[in-house]
Amino acid sequence: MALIPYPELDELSVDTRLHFERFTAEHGRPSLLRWMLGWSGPASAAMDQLYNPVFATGQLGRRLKELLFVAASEQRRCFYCMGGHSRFLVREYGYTRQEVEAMRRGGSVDGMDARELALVRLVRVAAADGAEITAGEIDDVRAHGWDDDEIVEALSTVAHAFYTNTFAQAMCLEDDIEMGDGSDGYF
Amino acid sequence: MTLFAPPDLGEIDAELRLEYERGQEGHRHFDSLRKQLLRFPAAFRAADGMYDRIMEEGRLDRNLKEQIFVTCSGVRGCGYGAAAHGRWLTANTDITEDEIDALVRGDALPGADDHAKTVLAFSRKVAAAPYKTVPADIEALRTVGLDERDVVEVMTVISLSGWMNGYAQALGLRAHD
Repeated sequence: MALIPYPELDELSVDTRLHFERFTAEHGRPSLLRWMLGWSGPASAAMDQLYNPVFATGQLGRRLKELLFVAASEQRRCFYCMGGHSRFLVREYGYTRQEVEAMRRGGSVDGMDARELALVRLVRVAAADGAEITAGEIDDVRAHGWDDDEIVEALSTVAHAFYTNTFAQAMCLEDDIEMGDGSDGYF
Repeated sequence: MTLFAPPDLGEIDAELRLEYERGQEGHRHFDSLRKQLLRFPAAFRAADGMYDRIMEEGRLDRNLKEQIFVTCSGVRGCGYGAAAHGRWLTANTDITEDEIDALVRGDALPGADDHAKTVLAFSRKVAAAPYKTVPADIEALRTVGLDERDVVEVMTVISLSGWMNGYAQALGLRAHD
């Protein structure tokens, strides 16, 4: 159970309440992370500037960045972020649960090439301790055909994990997705 | 030594370069990170945008927010983050470089009140192991006057410091950069 209660709609700032109502109309209720951030207008606004722009733009594509994000979150043991986004990969991209589990640990599955695996390996090192990344590891990723702009973009998923993992873990956020499909929750 | 050469500003899209230059006033203390993020405009804009919202708005004192940033950077071993936000504190407050070093080590500043000490102790704990927080940690914050809005604001500063520390370390930025 979360360490503090989630805000009621009438406790939100006007801007945040309007945002929630718009989001709910378009996508269903906001995630528990977004809901908890609703206590703070600036925190909610900051999140708007983080997730969608970073995941939906750039050269790498949403699927790969979601995969890198769950790899980083798995390394940092954040069940909230790893679980929610792993289910997103299953739902939106047709992976099986077993495939996502393998990929986020750096394993390969059909359709995933050595280039992507090189980025997953780098992201896992960065999520464990970025100070340990060596020039040789960056060269290895370059040797797989990624340029520096793409590597910096890939590492944005690690930074994102640091942000949301920290918040979700420290606030003890619960599993977030209403399954309704007979599945067994987060994995 | 950074793992990536900073991008050539002359080759950056003109609109993005203008955003970089406009942001220099308030963001000069983490310029090396901003320059690297020009390689991925969405992350560059997220850094500036999140920093402005989280650090300059809200109810918590800006000075204390920057102390949280330095403290968390120290816990995570991010010399770049500690030095960058230490520079903001020494330039904008009476806090000295020796006191910045004390914050990085986890010591309280001379004259710090219970509010600041409790918030910084909470920040150290969360930065070290966020999964270890317990209801008593929140109760301690309530005891010194923080309500839910304040708790989320503190948590957001700690999380933002994680974003910047995680990125800076992965890019190989160090204290002298």
